[in-house]
Amino acid sequence: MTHKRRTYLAVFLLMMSQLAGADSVIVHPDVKVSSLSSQELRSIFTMRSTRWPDQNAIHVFVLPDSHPLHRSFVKTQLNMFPYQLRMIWDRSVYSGAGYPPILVPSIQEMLVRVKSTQSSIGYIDDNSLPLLKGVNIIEIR
Amino acid sequence: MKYARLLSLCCLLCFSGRLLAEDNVSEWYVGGFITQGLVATDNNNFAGKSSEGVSSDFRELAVYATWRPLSNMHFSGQIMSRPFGNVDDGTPQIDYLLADYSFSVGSYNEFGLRVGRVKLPYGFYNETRDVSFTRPSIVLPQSIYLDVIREIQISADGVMAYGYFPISDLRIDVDLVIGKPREGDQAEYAYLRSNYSGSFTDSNGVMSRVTLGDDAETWRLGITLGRYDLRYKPGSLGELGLSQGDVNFDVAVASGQYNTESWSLAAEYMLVSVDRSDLGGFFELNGNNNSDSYYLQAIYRFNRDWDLLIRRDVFYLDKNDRSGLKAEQLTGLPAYFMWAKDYTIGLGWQASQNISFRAEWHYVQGTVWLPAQDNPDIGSIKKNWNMYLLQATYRF
Repeated sequence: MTHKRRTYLAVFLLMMSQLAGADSVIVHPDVKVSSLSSQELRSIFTMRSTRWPDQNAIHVFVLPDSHPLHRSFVKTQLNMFPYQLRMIWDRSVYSGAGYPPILVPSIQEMLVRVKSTQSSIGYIDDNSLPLLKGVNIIEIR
Repeated sequence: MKYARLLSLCCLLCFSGRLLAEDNVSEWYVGGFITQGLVATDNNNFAGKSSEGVSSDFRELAVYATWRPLSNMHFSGQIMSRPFGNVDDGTPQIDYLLADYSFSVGSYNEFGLRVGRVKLPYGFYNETRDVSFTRPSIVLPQSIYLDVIREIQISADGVMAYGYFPISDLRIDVDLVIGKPREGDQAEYAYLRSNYSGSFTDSNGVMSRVTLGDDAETWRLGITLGRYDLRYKPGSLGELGLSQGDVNFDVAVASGQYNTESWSLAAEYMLVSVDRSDLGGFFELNGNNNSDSYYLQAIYRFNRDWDLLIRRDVFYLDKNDRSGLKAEQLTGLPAYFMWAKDYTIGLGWQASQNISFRAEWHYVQGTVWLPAQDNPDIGSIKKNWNMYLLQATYRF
């Protein structure tokens, strides 16, 4: 019985963590922007906007296409699907129009790179929020 | 001497400044891919001798590099080799090589100029038509993306202006290229039906595209308008009694696309008007030609790795003679040389982030877009034919 109860608890906690796993957009502290509209966010993560308003180059960090956080971020924050984003990047990169985002393998690496790269932007899940130090969170309007 | 020293000092300062500012981010981007295709047909040849067995004469290999020295400037180039039957022997070509400068017109808008060899904005797929992971099928719909005239559709040496403007939840993309498209033997086959002793010696072209869509690309609508002028110089044999002159080529494409998580629907319609009357001779009286063509396409994604494609692709070389019977009476060539109707079914598998595969079946009636280079014997060209393709891609 206790075993079963423990399983329920584990499942409940897992579900909670999934729910609480809403994503946050993070930037290097030198970025002088505290909020973005969802349209501006899309424009940055599709690599169409390449500069911050102060004209510094935006450095975009993303997780692999198959990473659960990437999939949820693209769906909930960008209102797009990962295949669309991938298509937009590839069309731009292979026609000489632009450049790809910088791929990082894990959320830990995402934090490390955004912390250490000027004018950078990335995203994390809320489970990583307690670890946030040295990056700013961007409010999405 | 003094100036040279000053210049080198300036350069040094510039570069060290960049290096310091960019901390751990490289502003160099390098990548590429290799795609190998296999083609088999029951009748007629496509991409090599596909009717005599399996042809592997269909490969795409490219490497690109982009350098971003300033936040609003980059240099980018790609070299590509694309063996494709007797149409292309695979000699490496500069696919694009350009400098891009973007102006600031308010935050999160982009407006800029590209100079050099630029890809032509044309329909939904043209700029990256040779990049297997950006196209929906192994062989693109020939109604719009004719492989036999790829050379002249792919890029131009000149100037490109581009802009991207958000308007509330919508977005408008504008592209305009003025330059010299690549002229060559492929254009001769396509517009003069054979490779004569004469050749196209000069070209001028304008290509423009406006795309309207919602910001998340759920839907997109596009219009492409273009005009080419190709200068023909007759050769020693003076075939068809042609004299020096211009072939004019006007193109209009309407494009539409709708995307959901599982479905992508697309359709494009094209009108092309070719005027060869300036060449005189054979084309004195019948030098004008108006073609129209379209495709309807549905893609269903089972999950993020597997997709199914279904398409209907139709091409009429003469829209005033859709059956081809008038041409048959005039030239004696079979009516089905004047059109093609293609049913396509395809299956795609994204095996990993870097490796993907596709399989495809085309059931085609009509032969208008068959490469003449791979089908030199007109008498053996059949009306109905099947084409089976496999493709593997590795990107790096």
